[in-house]
Amino acid sequence: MSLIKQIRIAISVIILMVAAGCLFLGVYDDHRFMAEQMQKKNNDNANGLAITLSNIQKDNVTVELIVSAQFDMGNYRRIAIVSPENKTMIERVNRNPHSVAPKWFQSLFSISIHPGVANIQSGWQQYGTLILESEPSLAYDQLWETSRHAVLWTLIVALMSYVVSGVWLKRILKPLEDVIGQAEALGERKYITIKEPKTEEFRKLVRTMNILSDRVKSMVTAESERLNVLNLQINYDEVTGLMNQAHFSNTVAVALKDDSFVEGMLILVQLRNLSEIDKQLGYSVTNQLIKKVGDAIRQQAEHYADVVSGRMSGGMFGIFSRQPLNDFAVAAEFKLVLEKLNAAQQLMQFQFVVAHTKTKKGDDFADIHRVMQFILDLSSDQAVVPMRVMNANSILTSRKNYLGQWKEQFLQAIEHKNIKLARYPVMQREQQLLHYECPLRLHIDEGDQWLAAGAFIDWASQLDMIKTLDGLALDCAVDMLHKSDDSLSVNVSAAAMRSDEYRAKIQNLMQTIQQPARLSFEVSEEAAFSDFLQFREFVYLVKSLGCMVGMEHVATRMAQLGDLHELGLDFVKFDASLIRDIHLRPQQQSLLRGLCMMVRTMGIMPIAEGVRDQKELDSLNAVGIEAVTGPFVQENLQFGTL
Amino acid sequence: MRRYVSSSLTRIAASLCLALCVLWTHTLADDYVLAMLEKVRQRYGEEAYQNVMRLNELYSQLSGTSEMTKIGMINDFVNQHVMFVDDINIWGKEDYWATPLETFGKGAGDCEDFSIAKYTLLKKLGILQDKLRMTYVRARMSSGTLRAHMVVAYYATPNSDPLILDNLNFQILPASRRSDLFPVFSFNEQGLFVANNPNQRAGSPNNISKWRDVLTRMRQDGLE
Repeated sequence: MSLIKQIRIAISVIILMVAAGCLFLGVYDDHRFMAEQMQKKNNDNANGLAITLSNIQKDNVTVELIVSAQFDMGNYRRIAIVSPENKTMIERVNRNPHSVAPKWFQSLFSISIHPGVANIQSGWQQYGTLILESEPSLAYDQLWETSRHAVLWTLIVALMSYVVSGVWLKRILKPLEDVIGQAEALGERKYITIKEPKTEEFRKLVRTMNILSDRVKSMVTAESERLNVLNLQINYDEVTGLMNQAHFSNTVAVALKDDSFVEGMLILVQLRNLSEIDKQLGYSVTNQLIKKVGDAIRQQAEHYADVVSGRMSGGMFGIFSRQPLNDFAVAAEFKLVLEKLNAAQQLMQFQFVVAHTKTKKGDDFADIHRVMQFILDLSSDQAVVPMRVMNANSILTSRKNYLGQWKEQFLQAIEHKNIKLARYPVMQREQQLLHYECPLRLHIDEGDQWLAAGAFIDWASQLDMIKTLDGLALDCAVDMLHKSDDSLSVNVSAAAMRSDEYRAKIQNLMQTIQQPARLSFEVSEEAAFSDFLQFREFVYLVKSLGCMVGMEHVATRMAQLGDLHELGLDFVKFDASLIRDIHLRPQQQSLLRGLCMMVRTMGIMPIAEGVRDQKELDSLNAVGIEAVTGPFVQENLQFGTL
Repeated sequence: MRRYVSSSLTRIAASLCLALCVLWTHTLADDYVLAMLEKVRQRYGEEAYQNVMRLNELYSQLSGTSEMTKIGMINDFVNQHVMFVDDINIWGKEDYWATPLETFGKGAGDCEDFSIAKYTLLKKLGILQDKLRMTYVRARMSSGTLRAHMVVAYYATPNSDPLILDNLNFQILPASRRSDLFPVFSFNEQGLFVANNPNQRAGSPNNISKWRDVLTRMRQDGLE
């Protein structure tokens, strides 16, 4: 039983006891007062009547008439006149007293009073003694009525006090709910801080818990910063801050193999005369120049969504887009930027060539890189235009991808429900299935092909249809939850996360399913951290509905992972680029070990994406990854059964 | 010289005698009067004390005598030792019913106070209250004017002609010979249950009846 309820009952019982006591005393007092008044009435009426009778002519008829009149007009039980010889001369008795008060009440508050007695004179002669008794049933009735009213009012007051005490207690104990909420959050390793309540005891408690939260928060923040530095050291070039050769190659290779990838773009920029510059201006100036070029490339790359850039070797820079882009235009823009930089700088002019190509899903990065390198090596020192490495299909494809056509196709797919969810198992240790990750597949055109997200996401984004598609995916997922006992996880785009419509949809659908914990939502690192407030709200919403929530493709924003300490996320999926060839990269292992430890401190399960083979798996097991997914992962995966 | 000695001896003897006598009467005296003696001396001083001392002597003389004697002696005693004064001059109140203690203490009272004192003293001497009635009477004065008055009537038997104890006419006469008095209403303690109600307080606003009030005060003094 809750504390509030117990206190309320205690208060009500006390009030009832006090009220019952007051009630009894009140009635008892009334009863005494009434008895006193009746006694006086008896005495006074007896004296009055006796005075009257003493001063009249005393023939029997007159005396009897006067006594009768008094008896009949008033409330008497008995009026009698007794002669000096103790003989009853006249007597009037009410033999059928009528009372509404019940017998038990009358005996509880019995009114015992004496009759009024007075002498009647006839001149100097004694005529007789007048004995007069009032009818007590009147008093009982009155008392009964009063008591019933008092009981009624007592009950009303008790009821009101029960209600009032409830409201009041709720106000007093309101901070307690917050305190309990915080304690529970801490129990779930959600390290939140709340405002200190005014009540002293609660304040002390909350202060202590806030200190604990702050301590964990600062610890996690420091750790995430340290890991970020480590990440930069391992995966990023120290001169330009761009991805280093290994990381860029991994990122591109992972993207090209990724299920959701359809078409992208790769640009290579080669600085030609670095060795000359180095000779003339020295190592450090050359590095400055390289840094300027790197900065220019990074700034330009930020103009496009989903574009990464890296320094591949001495004077070679790579720019890769996961989305379909017009590579002619983009390459020309990069060339322009570098020419401007060249013009603006006072040092020796650098010479550069640019090559670009479209990339398709399944392309091998090493092959492409080799071909482009070959072409760059062939080219003259100062090519006038960027060189295109052609792909016969690309022109045809790009022609097809007109916006209007896409829209038509989206609408058709939505209308005909030409969508489905793929299922990729995410396995925990001991062959336990965490959930199936379910990316959306869209059926477009007459063909037999189901398109992955990468193929249409850019167009859907331009048409502002992503949240609609996410909504459809959610419908499908809920449908699947109804049909099976499996746990599922759906992707949520930044647009859907912000959309009120999508949130309302979640709320409605969650009411229909059993065990909402079977459904997980995952938001990409990019979407989550670029609008963290929205992400936080979204997390609170789905957690309140009992679902799971996590973050996917975590690779670059490690310094911000500390911010997750108060969210209570269920899992974090580390991007395949961090995982790739982990068994060959000891530094990467220690980075990942640190990441796993940190997120586990926050009660978050670390998961590895894109696991390709047993060696990677063994390595991941050793660094503390708790679940895995990727091409190598099947439902019967033996993982961590060491 | 010898004569002087003998006279002083006589005086000492007489004083001794008186002292013994006082002691004697003290020891024999009615508890009621004894209690009254103490209170009177405390409250009203020596003169009142002497009055009550005399009452004490009277009591000792009256024990065992006939009712008629008691009535006569008490009537005389009260009439002689209490001066008729209006209430307003004694108590500063319009109409105040005094207890015997108060009346003897002040040595003064009006017709109710006379009647209350006689009634109470006679009752204490063992006369049944049934035989005693305080009676409101209309009195015709010798000047011919009418005046409200109170006397005590003594009924030897319920139907007999009562004897009137009056402070205007000191002589005790049967009612039939008191044509100047016309009875209006009579009462005694019958039907009054003062003793039964311990919550009753003298002079409390609840207690309007003067008769009841004076009885209550007597009881509180322990002098009923």
